[in-house]
Amino acid sequence: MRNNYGEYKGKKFYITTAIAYASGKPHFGNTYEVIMTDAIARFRRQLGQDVYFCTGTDEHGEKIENLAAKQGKTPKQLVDEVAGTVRALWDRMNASYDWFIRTTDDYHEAAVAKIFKEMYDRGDIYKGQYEGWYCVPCESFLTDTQAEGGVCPDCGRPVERKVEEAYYFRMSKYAPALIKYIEEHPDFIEPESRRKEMLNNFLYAGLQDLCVSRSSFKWGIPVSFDDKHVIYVWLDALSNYITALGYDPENGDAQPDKFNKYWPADVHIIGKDIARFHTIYWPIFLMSQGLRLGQDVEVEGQHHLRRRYGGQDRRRRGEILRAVRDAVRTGRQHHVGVRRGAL
Amino acid sequence: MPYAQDGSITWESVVARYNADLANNLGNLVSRTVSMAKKYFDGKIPVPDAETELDRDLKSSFASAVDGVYDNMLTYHVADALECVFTALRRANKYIDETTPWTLAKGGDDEHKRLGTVIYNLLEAIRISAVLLVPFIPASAEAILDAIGTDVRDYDSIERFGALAVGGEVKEVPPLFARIDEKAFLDGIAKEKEEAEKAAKAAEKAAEKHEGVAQISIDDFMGVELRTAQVTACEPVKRAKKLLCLQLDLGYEKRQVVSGIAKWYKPEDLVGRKVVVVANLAPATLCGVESRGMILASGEDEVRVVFLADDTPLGERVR
Repeated sequence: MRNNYGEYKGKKFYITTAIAYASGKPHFGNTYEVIMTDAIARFRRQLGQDVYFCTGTDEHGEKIENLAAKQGKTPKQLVDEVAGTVRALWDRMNASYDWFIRTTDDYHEAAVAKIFKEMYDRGDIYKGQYEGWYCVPCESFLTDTQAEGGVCPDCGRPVERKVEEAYYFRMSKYAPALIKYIEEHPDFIEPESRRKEMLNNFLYAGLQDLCVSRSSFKWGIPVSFDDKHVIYVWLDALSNYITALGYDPENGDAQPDKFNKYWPADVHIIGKDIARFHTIYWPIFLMSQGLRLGQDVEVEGQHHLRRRYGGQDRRRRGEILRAVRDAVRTGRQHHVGVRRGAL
Repeated sequence: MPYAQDGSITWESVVARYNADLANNLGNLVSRTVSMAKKYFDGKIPVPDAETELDRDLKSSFASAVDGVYDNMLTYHVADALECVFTALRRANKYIDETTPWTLAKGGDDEHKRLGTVIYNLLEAIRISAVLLVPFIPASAEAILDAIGTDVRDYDSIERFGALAVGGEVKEVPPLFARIDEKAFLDGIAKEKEEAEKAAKAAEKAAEKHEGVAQISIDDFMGVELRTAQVTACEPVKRAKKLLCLQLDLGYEKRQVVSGIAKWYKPEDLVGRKVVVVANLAPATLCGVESRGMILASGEDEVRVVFLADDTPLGERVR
C-alpha cells in the first residue's frame, strides 16, 4: 500500500469513454472501453475521489442518415433504438456511469450550435470550398497521402471524392501551440508510441485546416447562421465532453457548478482508431474556446476477433459479447463477472 | 489485454481465461475455504495464532498485489492490475496445498491452533482479493465479501493484512463461477452461428424473389392496351383442367378470352365481375379454343384475379 494513498481522498476525477456511434449494436471496442473505464472509475471511488463518469452515444452524420433510409426509418427513430440498446447493455454490464449523453439531446445541440458560431465570430472558422477524399463510415476527410491506394487508413474501406461549399477551422493557427503543449506534457497522450505517432505523422508535417461543416446531407446540428450546412459530426461529438457537464458558451465565465468542478477531464479513454480526433482536433477546439486541455488521453489497442468464431466483423462483436454472457447460465451477476473478468 | 498493444480474442481464449482465473483460481479458492471454515470451525472465523515463514510469504504476496493494483490502476494499466490479483490468488491456492489443512484437522490442540491460523489467513486473503476486485467485478466481489462474513470492505482496510474480524460468520457460497465445459460452450456457439446463417440465407432467398425486370419507357408501356371489361359468361374448357373460357364485354365490342385460372376459380366466381384485359395481345388458340386477349391476375402458387369495382365503366383504357 502506498503512503500517499490519502492524497486522492476528496479530489475530483472526470473520466469519459468515447461516445458510441449509434448506427447499430455496440461493437466489442465500445463495450471493452466501457468496462475498462468503469473499472477505473470504481477504483477511483474506492480511493475516495469525487468521480464523474460520462459515456453516451454519437447520433448524427451521413452514415446514420443513409442507414435509416435503407431501413425505412427516420434517423431519429434509428438512433432512439440504438441508444436504447447501448444504454441497456451498459446497464447490464453494471457500468456505473454518472451521465449518459446523446448528441441529439437538446442541451447538447444548442450548445454546439453556439460553440460553432463563436468560433466563426472569433475568426477560427471561415467559409470556403472543399474538394477531397472522404471516408463515409469514419466520417473523416483524408489528405491525398492518407487516402493513397483509394482506401481509408483507419478502417480500410474505399474512399469517395466530395466537392462542396464548406466551413473550415484554422487548425494551422493552433498547431504550434498544440505541438508545444504535447512536448511539454509527456503524459498528455498515452502510451508513448501513440504520442510519437501523432507528432510525427500529423503535427510536424503541418496541419491542414479542417472542414467543419457539410451541406450534402441534413442529419446533423444546423449551422445557426447558414442552414444549408450542418456541423461536422466530429466537432459535434467531441463537444460532448463539455456539454455533458452543462457547458454553454452563453454562460461565459459563469459556467454551471458541475462544469467548474469537474473540467478539465482527468482522462479520456479511447480506442486508437479515434486517436487523431482526440489528441489533435479536440485540444485545438478547446484552445479556440479558451478552455483548459484535459490531463490525459489514454489510447487503447484494438481487439481482433479471430477467424474461427467471429472473424473481424465489427458488427458481430456486440452479439458475440452477449452470447458469451448468455451462455454462462449461472445467474446475472456471474454474467457480468465472466465478461468483466475475462478481460 | 496487454497494455499498449492490440489484443486477440477468440472464444477459446475467453473460455480458457474464465476457467483458469475465475473458476479455478478465485471460485475454487472461495468454495474450498468456506467449506473448511464450516467443517472445522462451525462456520466462524477462527483466531489466528503464531505466524510462520509460509504465512509471511503469503502475506507478502498480497501486499504486492495491493501495491500492484494501486500502481497499475493509477496509470490505466487495467489488465496488468487484474493480473496482480490473480497472481496472489494462485499463491493462496498453493498455500492450501502447502499447509494441508485436512491433515491438521486430524491432529491435537497445537494442530488445531495452526489450522485456525491457516483458515484465518485464507479468509483474509480472499477478503483482500475481493476488495481489490470490486472495480472489476463489483457484484461478484460483494457476493464474496458477504459469503466470508465481513463488513470490513473499504480500501483503507487492505493496507495491512489482518483487518478481518474474528468470530464473523461464514455463509453458504452461491456457485460463483462454475466451470464452463469448453466443448459444450463452443458447440453452443457453433449452433447459434449455424442458425444465424440459416436465417440470413432465408432472408436472402426472400429478397431474390423480388428481383426486378428491366426498366421500360412510358412508350413501351403504352404499347400495351389494357381495357376494363365485364365477364358475361364463363365455362370450363373441355379436356383442359387448368383453363376457363370467359366471354368478356368491353362495351364497344365483345370477345372471348381463355384463362389458366381454373385451379382457383369456378365460373360462378367470375360471372358478372369486372376485370382488366390485355386487349391487343395477338390471338392464340389454347386447347382448341380461341383466346383474343388475357385477363390480369397476380401470384404464382395462389393466383388472384385483379377485380375492378362494380361500378367501373366498360372499355376504358387502364394506365
